[in-house]
Amino acid sequence: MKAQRLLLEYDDARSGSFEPLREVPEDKIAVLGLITTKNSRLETPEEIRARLREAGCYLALEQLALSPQCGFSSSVLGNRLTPEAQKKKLHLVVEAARAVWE
Amino acid sequence: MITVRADTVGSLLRPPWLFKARQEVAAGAISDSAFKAIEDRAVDEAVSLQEEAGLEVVSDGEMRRQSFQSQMTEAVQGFGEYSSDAFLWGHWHGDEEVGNWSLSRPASLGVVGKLHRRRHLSAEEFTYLRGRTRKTAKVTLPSPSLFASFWSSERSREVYPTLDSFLADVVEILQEEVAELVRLGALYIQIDAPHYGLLVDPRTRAFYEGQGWSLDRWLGQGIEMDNAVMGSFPGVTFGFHL
Repeated sequence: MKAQRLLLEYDDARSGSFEPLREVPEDKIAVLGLITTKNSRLETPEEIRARLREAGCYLALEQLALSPQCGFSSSVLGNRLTPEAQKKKLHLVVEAARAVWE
Repeated sequence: MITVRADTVGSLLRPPWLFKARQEVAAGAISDSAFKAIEDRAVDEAVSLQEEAGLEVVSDGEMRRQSFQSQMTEAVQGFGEYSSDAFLWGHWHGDEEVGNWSLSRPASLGVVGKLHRRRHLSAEEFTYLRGRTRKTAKVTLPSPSLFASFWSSERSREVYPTLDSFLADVVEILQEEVAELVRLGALYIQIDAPHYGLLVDPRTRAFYEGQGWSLDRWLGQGIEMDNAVMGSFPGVTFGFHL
């Protein structure tokens, strides 16, 4: 796999454990989709930091990044969340990333 | 390599007025020029939303697309008749609110002509976005094997005798698209490949095996095609969304 950034969906129990992150080669970054785009429930920054710490047991933080789990609107119909929730979730991605990596 | 810690996958919620304008232009009620001004405004708002959140990588929110992979079928002739069901069929596991649901593969789905690119898939998207932001502009392209569902053993054989011969043309179109995006200055291109995850579902896997590819072949040859699309462009970062 040539891609350098692997964007992986990790927003619920069905996504499975972080164990496969052990297999990520040294020259790649795993972007973890920890923030759901399926509904308006807003994750807390503490929740996201805890999940990243857990992922950090399998892959170094330098090889990790954060994103929403998927697009907010895979088709024109859009997902079941409000524009306000979408905005809060985008802010959360940036704030949680700053808290962990800066 | 782009090492930003805060990333996004691409699409954003479409404003209702964009949805309405899309219907109006399709019905001939507004001009192409009027529609493009509305579409541009939707992209502008998507850019502002991401910049205000503090993201260093921004997309155009996929405001110009019907769905994340529709740029291919809109820009290229030969895919035959299809509706949005072409992209949505399958067995889906929803949360408490949505529940599980299934949609059958449309019977009329199938490539009927040799693929012919009428225009670039995402050059307009990238060029406009590049002019609207000083952040890194990200563009997404669909993984070639995602279109395997468009090959039909009954309907497509005359023009493409095998699934492989059809997908080879899809790969070529995407390779040319990547080269064009790089020429236009793209530094971050993401390949969307959500179909790999669906292979764990026995019903989905059975359909693809019926298309002539075993699971091993999917993983081996599918990724080989993704790599071919990414080509060799030092200085450009590729993302792969599973």
